[in-house]
Amino acid sequence: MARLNYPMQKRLVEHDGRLYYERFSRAQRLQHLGLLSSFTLLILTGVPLLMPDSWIVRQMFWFEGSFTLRGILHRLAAVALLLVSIYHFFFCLFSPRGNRDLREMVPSWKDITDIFGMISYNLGKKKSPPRFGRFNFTEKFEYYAVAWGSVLMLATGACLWFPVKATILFPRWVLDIIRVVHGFEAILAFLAIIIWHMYNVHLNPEVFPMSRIWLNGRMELDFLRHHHPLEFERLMESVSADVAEKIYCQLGDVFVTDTSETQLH
Amino acid sequence: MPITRYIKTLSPVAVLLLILLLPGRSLAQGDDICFECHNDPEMTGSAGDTIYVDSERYTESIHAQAGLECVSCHLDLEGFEDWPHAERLERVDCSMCHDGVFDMWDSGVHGQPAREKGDLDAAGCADCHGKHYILPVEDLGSRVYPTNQPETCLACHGDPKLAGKHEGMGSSDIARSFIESVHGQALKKSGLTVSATCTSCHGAHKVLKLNEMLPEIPETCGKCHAPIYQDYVHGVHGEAFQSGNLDVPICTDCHGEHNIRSAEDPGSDVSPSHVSQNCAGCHEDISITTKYGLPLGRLDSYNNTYHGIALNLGDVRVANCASCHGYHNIRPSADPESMTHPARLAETCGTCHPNAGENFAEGKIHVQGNPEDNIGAWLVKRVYVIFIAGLIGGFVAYIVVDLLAHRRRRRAEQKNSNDPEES
Repeated sequence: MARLNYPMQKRLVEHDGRLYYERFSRAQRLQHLGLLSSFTLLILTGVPLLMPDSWIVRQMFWFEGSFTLRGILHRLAAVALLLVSIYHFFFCLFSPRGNRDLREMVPSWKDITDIFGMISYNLGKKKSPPRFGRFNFTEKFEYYAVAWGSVLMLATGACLWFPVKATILFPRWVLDIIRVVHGFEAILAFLAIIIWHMYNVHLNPEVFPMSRIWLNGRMELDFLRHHHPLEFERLMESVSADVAEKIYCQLGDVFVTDTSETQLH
Repeated sequence: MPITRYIKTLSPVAVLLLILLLPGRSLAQGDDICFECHNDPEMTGSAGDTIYVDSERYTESIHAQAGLECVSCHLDLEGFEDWPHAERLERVDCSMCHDGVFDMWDSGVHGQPAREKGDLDAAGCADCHGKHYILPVEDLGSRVYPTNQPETCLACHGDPKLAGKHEGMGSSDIARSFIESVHGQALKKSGLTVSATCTSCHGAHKVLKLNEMLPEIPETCGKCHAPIYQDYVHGVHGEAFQSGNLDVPICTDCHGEHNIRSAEDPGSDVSPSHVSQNCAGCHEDISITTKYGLPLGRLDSYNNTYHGIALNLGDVRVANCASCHGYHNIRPSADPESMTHPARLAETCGTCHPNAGENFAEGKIHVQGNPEDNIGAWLVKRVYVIFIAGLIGGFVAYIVVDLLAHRRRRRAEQKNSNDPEES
C-alpha cells in the first residue's frame, strides 16, 4: 500500500484565536454522520423483528402498510451504510488523511499491554495511565468492531434480501443460519453502541455530557496532551518554534520559553 | 330449487286453471260479495282489528290468478248467505292442495313443535308466504324470492326475544350476521339471485335441525361450489370426513356459517391475518394432536419465521398456512400431489419467490430451535449468546472500574486542594 504523506502540522487548526487539534476532518465527520444515521435507522427498523411480540413493537406498526415501510426503510438504510462503507474504503486507501489514520489504526503489541496498564491504573496499582497515541486500544477495538460488523451485516443482509439468488450458492438451511447470525450480530452491535460507545463519548466523566468532537472535529490541546500524549509529542516535534510557544502559552505554560526544558505533568 | 319443487307440488287442477285463466283475470264473481265489506280499509272487527283485504293486491296473487275464490280456502263460508259471518273463521288448511310440501313442513323444525306442542311461534305457511297476497316464488315481490328470504326469516330469527325463548333457534345475532356475509351482500347489494339464501342451505319446507344438517354441509356447499367440493373430498380433511370422521373440519369450521366472508375481507376467519389462528384451533389442540399423532408446535414454529413475524405485524402478503399447504385440497406431505411434497416444494415456494430452485426448499421449514432442526443455527445461536454475554459483561466490568477510579482520583484531588498545608 502506498503511504500517503500527511504532515502533522496540518492537524493543528485555529478557531476563534485558539489552537485545536483536529481529531476528525470534515470528510471523517460526514462519514460518522452517515454511519450514525444509517445505523440508527437499521436498528429501529430491524430490532422489532427480534422481539415481535413485545408491546412496544406492536405499537410501532399501527397503520396499514407500516411493516412494508419498515422493510423499505431497512433496505434503504442498508444501501446508505454500503455507500458509506465503500466511501470509507477508498478514503482509507487514496486520501492522505485517511491513509495516515488507517496506519494509526493498525493494532500493535502495545495495545495489549495498554489494556492491562489501564486496568492496573484504574485499580490503583499503577501511578500513571498508559501513554496512548492517536488511537488508544478502546478506539481501535471500536473501529474494528464496526468494520467487521458492517461487512458481516451487509453480507448476511444481502443474502436475506435476495434469498433466491443466495440459494443458488447454498441450500436454504444455510440461509436460516444466516438469519440467526444477522439477528445476533445486530444485538451485539446495538449493545456495543448503547453500552460501550455511549459510555465513551457521553457518560464518561472526562467528556460528560457529550464530546463535541463528532460535530466540529476539534479536540482541546490539553485533552490531547492528557489522553493522547504520544500524539501530542509528535505534534510538538513537527511544529515550528513560534507555533510551539503559542501552544504552550495557550496551555498555561507561559513562562517557559525553552521547549527542551518543558516538563509536562 | 324451490321453484321446481313448488310447481311439482301444485295441484294439477290449479295448474290447469292457471293456464286457462291467466290473462287478464278479474275478481271471481263469488268474491264480489266478500269485498263489499273487506275492501274497506276503515272496517274493523269488534276488537278493533282491521278486516281489510286489498282487492287489487289480492287479484294479483297467484291464487286469484289461478281462479281460486275466497271460499276455496275459507271453506266454512261456502254456501254461506247470512252475512255478516262469525268473526272467528276456521284456520285455512293449505294442505288441501299443497299436501306434498305440507308433509315436508310437518316433519321439519317448524312443523314439529306446532304439531307436538301446539307451539304457534313456529312458522306456519302464512308466516313465510303471506296470506291473501301470495305471489309466485319467481316474482320479485314474493316474500320467499331469494333476495327477500333473509328479511322474511329474520322477522322471527332476527328477533332476540323470540330466539331467546326457543333454544333451537340459536342466536339472533348470528342469524342477522348473514346480511353482512358474502352471501347476504351478494343478494342484497349485487342482486345475485344465485347466491346462497336461507333455503339454499336449510331447505325450504323441511328445515332440518342442526345435528341433522351437519353431515350434509360439505355436500350442501358443494351444490354451488362444485369444484371446491371436489378439492375438499380429495384432500386429507375431506377424505377423513367421508369415512365418517367428525373431528376433521368441514366447510363451516373454517369459513363460519351465517357470517361467511370473502377471504379478501380482513375480518374473515380465512383472511391471511386470521388463517393461522383458524388452523391452530385444531392443530394446536393437544387432544386432537395426540389422538391423530399430528406434529406439534406448528403455529409457534411458523410465528418464529420471517413469514410469521411479518404477518403478525400486519404484512398480509407473506406466506401463511394456506400459501404452502393449500386450503381445500390440503394433502399430507407424503402425498406426491401435496404442495408440500419434497418434489413439489420448490414449485410451491416459487409461487411467491420466482425462480426459486431446489436449494431454496432444502432444509426444515417448521423449525423450533432444536439442535436436530438445524444444528448450524443451534450452534451459532449458542456461541453468540455466550460471546455477547461475555463481551457485555467485560464492557460493564471495565466501565464500573473506570467510574470508580474516576471517583477515587477526584476525591484525592479535592482532599489535596482542601488541605494545602498537608501536601
